[in-house]
Parts: sequence; structure tokens; C-alpha cells
Amino acid sequence: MDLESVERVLASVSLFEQLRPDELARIARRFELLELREGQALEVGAAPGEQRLLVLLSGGAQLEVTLGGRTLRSSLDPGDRFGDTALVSGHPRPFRVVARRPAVLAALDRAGLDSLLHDFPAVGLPLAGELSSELRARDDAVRQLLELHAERFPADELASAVAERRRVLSRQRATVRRLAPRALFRRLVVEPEADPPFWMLVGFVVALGLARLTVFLILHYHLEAQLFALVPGKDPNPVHVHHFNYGLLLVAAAGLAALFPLGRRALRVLAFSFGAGCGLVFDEFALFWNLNPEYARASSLVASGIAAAALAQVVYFRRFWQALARRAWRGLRGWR
Amino acid sequence: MSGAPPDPRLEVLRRVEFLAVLEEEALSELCARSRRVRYRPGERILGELEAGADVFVVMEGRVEVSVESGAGGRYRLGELQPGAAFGEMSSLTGELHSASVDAITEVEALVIPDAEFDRLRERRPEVAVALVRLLGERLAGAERAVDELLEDRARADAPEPAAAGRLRRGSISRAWRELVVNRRRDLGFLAFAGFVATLLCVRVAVYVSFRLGVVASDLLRGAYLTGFALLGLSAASSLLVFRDPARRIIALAYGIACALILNELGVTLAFDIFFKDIHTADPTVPFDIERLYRRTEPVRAVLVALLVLVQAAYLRRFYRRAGFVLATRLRRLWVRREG
Repeated sequence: MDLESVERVLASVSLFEQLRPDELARIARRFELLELREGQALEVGAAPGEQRLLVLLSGGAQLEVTLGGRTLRSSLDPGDRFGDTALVSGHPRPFRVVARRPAVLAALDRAGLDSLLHDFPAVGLPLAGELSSELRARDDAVRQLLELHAERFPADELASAVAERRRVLSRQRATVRRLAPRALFRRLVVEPEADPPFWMLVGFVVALGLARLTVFLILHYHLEAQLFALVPGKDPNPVHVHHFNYGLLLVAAAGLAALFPLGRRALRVLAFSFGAGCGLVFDEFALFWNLNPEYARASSLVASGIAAAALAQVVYFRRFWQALARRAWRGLRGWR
Repeated sequence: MSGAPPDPRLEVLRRVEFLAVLEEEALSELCARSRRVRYRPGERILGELEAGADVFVVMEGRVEVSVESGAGGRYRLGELQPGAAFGEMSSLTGELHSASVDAITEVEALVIPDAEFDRLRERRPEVAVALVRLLGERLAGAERAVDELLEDRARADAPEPAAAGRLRRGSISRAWRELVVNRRRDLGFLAFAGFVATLLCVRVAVYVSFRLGVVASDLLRGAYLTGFALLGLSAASSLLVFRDPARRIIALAYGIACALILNELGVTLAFDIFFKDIHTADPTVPFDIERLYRRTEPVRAVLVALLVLVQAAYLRRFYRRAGFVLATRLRRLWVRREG
């Protein structure tokens, strides 16, 4: 495999994205190229100090990680990499790569990584971010396991719960790092996805879109009698349970659950539920605002647009608004 | 060579592992671009699950790092001295804080704004390289801790979970103390209390307005719209704000909002019985808000809400344990069936 092809693949690896073409060329020379025939296997990190970072340059391979007696398999495609966490931490985490078809891999050992970081410290920027995410996942696992032990559950329940945590951790430890996502996608989705407001916005947009579409289809095909929740009673007209009621229920449930201790993942699920609930409520804003069941009023759309815009500000422009608020507050204090 | 004494703040910053690579001039600049904040003993510096990506360096005093357990207890993870930094992981990932940090003594912290720390890493990538090394060491430690805990050894040193909610036999005053006074800071209880108090007040206000013949439609509309707004705000805040005093206000607001909405559920649920379809008001049935208010739906909904809030206030721990045991048993059954 020629050096130019190696550079091309390395350029798509998120660790090296920020480097100039001439720097990529110099980096490419530091990797050891390993060729595997179809079916051939490569064992990595079986002994201490033998950890390596592997990047698949061409062909196809399968990654096998054995943890707690269970082997997890993932496919590797060109640009995918594995082994950097173990390489940096020095914690032994052996794995095996089996070529599904003739494959070329680029390998870097600890000394290579140290010299690479010394000569190209910019590589440290994305690497530090990735390691932080890994460390957070491990810290969360430590905390969950500590809680399990502290709760003093019966021994068999505890063993079962620990086994489940082991399975989840094994999956985390065997995760392959894929090709770097495109810059716009990263800015709009990957970077804010850790934050609950992002999931509120996603839930809001999804629920609003689905509600609008469903109601449009029901009205268009005159399926009101079949699909609207109409509760008959003593009144001449039945009670129609509008979907803003389901939305309120979702918002209330998410709000109550969020008052009690949670993990980050649960918080995201609740944020999504909250957003979905708000989407359903705002879709029928005009109904409860005017106590009039006419769905097609413009005020629902206006209110939904304002709510979505406000959420988008929180997700994407929070720093700007915070800085503005701080400056305004300082100005106000100075004036007083 | 100048005879000026060395700046003690720079000496402290030099002890921070990932800032030690910077020379004096860069450290001085960083100091100038950061703000110094003082915290009183016991004051929260940052809260678990809060958003925020500023980096903190302890300049004076001691701080405690802790996490809240699912059962409501608190685990102390450690103590930090001058020269220790925290918050750098949130700055790197944009993730929510994974632990709370509280001042033990009077504390002075240097707060490096997130944007400034980003700029520093980009201009001086050797800071990022130092962070890589530091994170590598921490990761190795975390991996070892995970492996040890997965070994399933008995942890005699594990802290006993908080004994909140345990009732003893005794007098009415003791029951009052156990059920109300001791729980006045519990979020579930505050939501419950806010709900009951608001429900009583609103019902009395609406009853009086009906008796006096005052048009109650504006009062009712105002009340349920306030309830909707308050519910949205309190639920959003409960997902975003994790400081104790603020969360108590949020819980109270949540209870108030639920009461305002459910008390008038008849109004918002059944208003279109007066309409033939979604475009035409039914002339044979005149719109009557008092009739809507007196419907039976709100009573049922209030009873259900009371039941849920009482469980949330007093039986949370029981449900948590029961849920855990049920989930592990189901999982075991599932694994056995798959096996």
C-alpha cells in the first residue's frame, strides 16, 4: 500500500483531522503497516507493554475482544480504529483482529504514540476529549457498582446485577471508533448530544411533526370517529381527549422522575420525554388558550415555532446568551 | 533579574498537572483572564449533573467531591487541596458534571472560563498532551477499580445508605415529626405539600367566587394556564438545575402546577362538548364554564395524583428496591431461557 493511500485514510481518522497534509505525511511514516491474508489473525496486547493502536487502512476485518469469558465481535472497515484507550492507560486489554478479506492495518505502539504527541501535540486535543468520555463511562460504572454493593441486596440478586454491569462494560470496552463524522453533523448533533436540552429539542420536533402528520391524515381521510379518543357520556357531544393531555402527562411524569437521583443516560431519556410532551402540548396550544377545538388556528404554529426557537437557542447558542446575560448583569450592577 | 517576590497564585497554578507545562508569562495571562471566586464553608461550587464547562483550580482551602446515590444517600469520593483542579473533563467533552464539589473550609478558586480553556488548549497543545497523560493515568485507575468491583467481593466498608423514611411506633407528635418535619427538605414531600396546599386554596377561591356570583371563567382560565406554564418550567428546571435550594423550589412549583391543572381538568378536558365539530359551536348547548368545573374527572385525577405523590414522598426507597429485585429476576429468567 503506498504512502498516499495511508495518508488519505489517516486524514479521515478524527485524531488526525486537524493536521496539515505535510504533517499527515510525516505521521503516516511512523505507523507500522501490517498485511493480513484472509482468515489470518493478529493478537494484540496479550502481554503488558504490547498494547497497540490499530487503524484499518484497507480490506475488512473482525475485531474480537474477550472479556469476562465472553467474546464480543465487531466489524472493522477502512478508517476504523481500536486500542487507543488501552495504549494510553497502559491497562492490559487484549484483543484479536481477524481479516475477513485481505487487509492492511496501521499500527502504533506506546513509544510511537509518545513521540507522535511530542512532535504533533495537536493530536492531544481530540485524544484528550475521547479519553475524557471513556473515563466518564468508567467513573459511572464505578459509581453504579459501589451503589450496588452499598445497597446490600441479597447475594444472588447482587451477583445477577453485577453480571449485567459486566456485560454493559464489556460492550463499552469493545467499542470500535468509527470514521470521523462530518463537521456540520458533529457541530449540530455529536457535540450537543451530551446535553439534556438537545434531547428536549429532538423530542419536541419529533412529537410535533408526528402529531401534525397524524392529525392531518385523520382529518384528510375522515377517520375522526375511528381514531379520535372520544369518550361518550351524558352530554350531547362526547368528550374528546385531545393529545395535549397526553403531552401534559408526559411532561408531568418526566418532571417528577427528574426530581430524584438519576444517571446521565436516564436524564437524556427524560429530557426526550419532556420535549415530546411539550411538542404535543404546543401542537394544540390554540385549543386550551382559547377553549376552542379548532385545530387549524395559526397561534398553535406560532407558539410551537417560538418554543422550538427558544430550545434551539439553549442548545446551540447558550454560551452567547450566558455571556450577554453576565455582561448585562455586570452593567446593571455598575449602573446601580 | 528582578527582585520581585514570586506570585503565590502562580506557584499554586504550577502544581496543576496540566498547567505545569506553561511558563510564567502564560500562567500570568491565564490568571488575568480567569476570575477569582470565594466560597463559604459548605457552599456548593458545582453540582452533579449540572451543565457547565468552566475549569476550577483550588487556590486556598479544601473542597469535598461527592456523588448522590440512587437511594438518596451521598458518597464522599475525596478531598481536594490547593493546586488541584476540577471541571476539566466537562470542558473537554461538554458532558454534565459527574460529581458535586462543596467547600469544606473558606475556599478561593480560580475559575478558568470554558472558552478560555478551549483557547489555551488550541494555542498551547502541550496542555492537551499533559491532559492525555493525566487522563491515561486516571483511566488506568478507573479500569482497576471497575475490575475489582466486578470481582463481586464483599464490601464491608461500603457506606450504609441513609435511613430516611424509617418509621417508629409512637405518638402523634412523633408521627408528625417523622412524616412532615423530617421530610421538609425531601423533594417528593415538597411536591406533595405544594399540591395539597394549592388544591385547597384554589378550591376555596373558586367556591367563593361562585358563591359571590363573580364571573369565574377568567380566574379558571388564568389558573390552568399558570399551571401549564409552571409545569413546563418546573419540569424543564428539574432536568437542568441540580442545586439543592433551587430544587426544593422546583419541587414545590411542580406540586402547585399539578394542583392547578388537575383541579380544572374538567375545563380543559371537556370544553368541546359544547361544539358540534372542530369548527362550529353547538347552539343547543350554551358554553358554561361552571358546569365544566363541576365535572367528576378532576376528582378522580386528583385522587390518582395524590396516590402517586404520596408514593413518591414516602415509599420511593421501597419501590426502588422492589424494582431492582424484579428487574434482576426477570433478566435472570431471560438469560436462562436464552441459554
